[in-house]
Amino acid sequence: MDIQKQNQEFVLGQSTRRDFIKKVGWGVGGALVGSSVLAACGADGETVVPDTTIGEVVPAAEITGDVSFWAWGAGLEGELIGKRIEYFKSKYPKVNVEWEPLAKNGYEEYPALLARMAAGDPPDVMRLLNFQPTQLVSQGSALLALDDYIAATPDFDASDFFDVGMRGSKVDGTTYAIPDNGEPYYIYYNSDAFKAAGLDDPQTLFQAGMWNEEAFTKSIDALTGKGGMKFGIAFEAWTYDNFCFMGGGTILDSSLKATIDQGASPAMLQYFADLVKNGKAPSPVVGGGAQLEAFRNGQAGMYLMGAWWGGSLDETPPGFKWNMTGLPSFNGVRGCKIEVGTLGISSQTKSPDAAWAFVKTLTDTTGMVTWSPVATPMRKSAIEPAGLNKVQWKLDHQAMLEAASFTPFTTKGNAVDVAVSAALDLMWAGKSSAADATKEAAKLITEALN
Amino acid sequence: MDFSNLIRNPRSSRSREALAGYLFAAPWLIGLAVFQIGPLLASFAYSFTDYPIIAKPKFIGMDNYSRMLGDKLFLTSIRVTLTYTVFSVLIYVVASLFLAMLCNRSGQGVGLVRLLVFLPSLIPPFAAAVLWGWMFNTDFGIVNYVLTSIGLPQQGFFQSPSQALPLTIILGFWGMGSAFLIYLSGLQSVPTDLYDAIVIDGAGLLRKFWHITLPMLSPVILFNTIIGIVISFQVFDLAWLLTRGGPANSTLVWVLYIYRTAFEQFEMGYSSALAVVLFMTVALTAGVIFRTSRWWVYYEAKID
Repeated sequence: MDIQKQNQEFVLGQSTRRDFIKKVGWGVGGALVGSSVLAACGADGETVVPDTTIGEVVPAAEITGDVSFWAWGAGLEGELIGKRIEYFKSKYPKVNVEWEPLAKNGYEEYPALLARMAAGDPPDVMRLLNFQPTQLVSQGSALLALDDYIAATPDFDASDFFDVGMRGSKVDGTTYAIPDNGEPYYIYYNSDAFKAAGLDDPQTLFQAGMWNEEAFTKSIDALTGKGGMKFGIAFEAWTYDNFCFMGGGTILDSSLKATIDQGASPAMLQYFADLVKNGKAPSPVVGGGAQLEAFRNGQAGMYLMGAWWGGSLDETPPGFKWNMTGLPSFNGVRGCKIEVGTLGISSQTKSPDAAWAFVKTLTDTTGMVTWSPVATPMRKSAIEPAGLNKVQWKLDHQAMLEAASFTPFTTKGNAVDVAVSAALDLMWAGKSSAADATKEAAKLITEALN
Repeated sequence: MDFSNLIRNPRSSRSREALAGYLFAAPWLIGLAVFQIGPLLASFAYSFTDYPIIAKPKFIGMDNYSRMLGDKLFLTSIRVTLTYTVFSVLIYVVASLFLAMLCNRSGQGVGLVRLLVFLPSLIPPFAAAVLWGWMFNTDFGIVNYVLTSIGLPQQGFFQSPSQALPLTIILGFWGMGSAFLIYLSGLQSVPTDLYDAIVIDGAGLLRKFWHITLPMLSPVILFNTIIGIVISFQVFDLAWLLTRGGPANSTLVWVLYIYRTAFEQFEMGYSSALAVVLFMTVALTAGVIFRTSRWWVYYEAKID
């Protein structure tokens, strides 16, 4: 290096590019090593469940605490949540309830809930769906076990719940949530179109025990391509469980072994795949509301969807008379999928007694009846006061609640759904038979769960 | 400049200047550290753990990385992402250059054409995805309506495993407005005397393009290629909005698989490892392109 450059560096103190890169390299390397060491020194992954008091028989007026309630609900649903909270406050005046309304539903808000839990700030009570309690408990003991609370609460009658709801609230036999609502699946139908086609009313057939494969197929054939209607029925690919349950098929058995390629499931799926192949149903794979709109616009005579949709049809009726009825029976079997909604209490709650009081009040008969305009109650004692046996489009609710089932929940969240959907996509596109697609689905399920 | 002060007290003067510089840059530096470097380092650390988000992370060494080698869905996501990247970058670089060359002239209507080419890039991806989803809907979309009206068979489009990815790539045409603008300004800065000189030598259109336009635009092509690769490797919104990775995982891109693993399967440790590998892949690809650019990028003013 020449003298001039040396002097320049002394005077102006410039470090060379090599020096700078050296410093940055040491800095980044040190940070990487340091962070890896910190991660390695992390806890062994076990969470410490705080001591919680078992609910003693304490007078309602004496129970105090703060309860944050994490739940979605807009429009009428939001109003009814507000009414349920008011009902709770009338019984427990010393408990403060803060409802945190969510913009989207429980699936879409799930990452936000996980982020709060990871940050150590979980809500006290959460509105949960389907596999979520199983996943939250098995992955991080995030929910409070409730069996002791149930046992210590004399007026809590667990047998009043529909069996399917309680099963959906347990993890390995322990109760971690309380059923809040259960939404079986139904056939929504265009009554005007049925009348014009000279078909028997499906609800009348259901009540008479004659809404079966024959009547269902006859209706689809009579409606397809007639009177301006393009399709006999529309449905969504993600409701595939229904197609299997309708004929007595299953997706998983109780030991979480894949059974979708056995029994009635392949034949049932082939039946619905043939409807798409023969132009009697629109392609169900990509949603975006196309199938729903097909029914609303009078282009499909029937639509297979969950019970919750009846409320929105009631609020914004389509341009024709509509009704809904249970799923048809195939092979002499009645079955459908049910979406299980529950209320869970965080294992980190600082007010376990207040949180338990909140959950048991919202899910008592009055709480469920208040909820019933937008949610199907899971208590047998709520069916009649909720008017379910009087409202025309709710007449078949009790029968379907008793026939409903769900694919066993796993610790892997929606991994089974993702695996099955990927395999069945080829079937819906007409590139695979149901027999081959279900074999592939069984293989993917086994890989996903192991 | 007062060199006497510098020589008398060089360090304190330099320190003051440096301190002032750092203070002004502090807000950006803090943001960079907290929102970019911090999460990057955290992700790297978590990639060596089993971390189910709602429980504490547990160190498992290289297990996440070795798991990737046998993960079929991960290999599928690499294949889908590489296919998307190769074709998207080709569209991004080549098609936008072609359009820029077409619009690099004066005349009536050129301004309107330029605007029409640029406008689609202003549409948010969500709106574009909803629009395309409906246009290409198998049973109710306008495209199939036109096809069946002229006697052609109905197509599956986003419901077909073989058509969903190509359609998603074509949707990328809408995002090339910014590359188009950059090319246009690059073309307009090419000295016209170079074209005049080559015309005198009897060169036609192709020779003009090959010997003048391409070399002069090569730094811009390098820039657009790097940007295109970085954006394409990180595609998520289109796959999520249009197909959620289906049908049959035909549009399961890398970032979508990372999202699923983290927030649907609760495997933050494994998804962090996937993210680290993605970062290294993008960095390596960009590094290789930069390294090879010495052979094909021409800088008019070279610094010795």
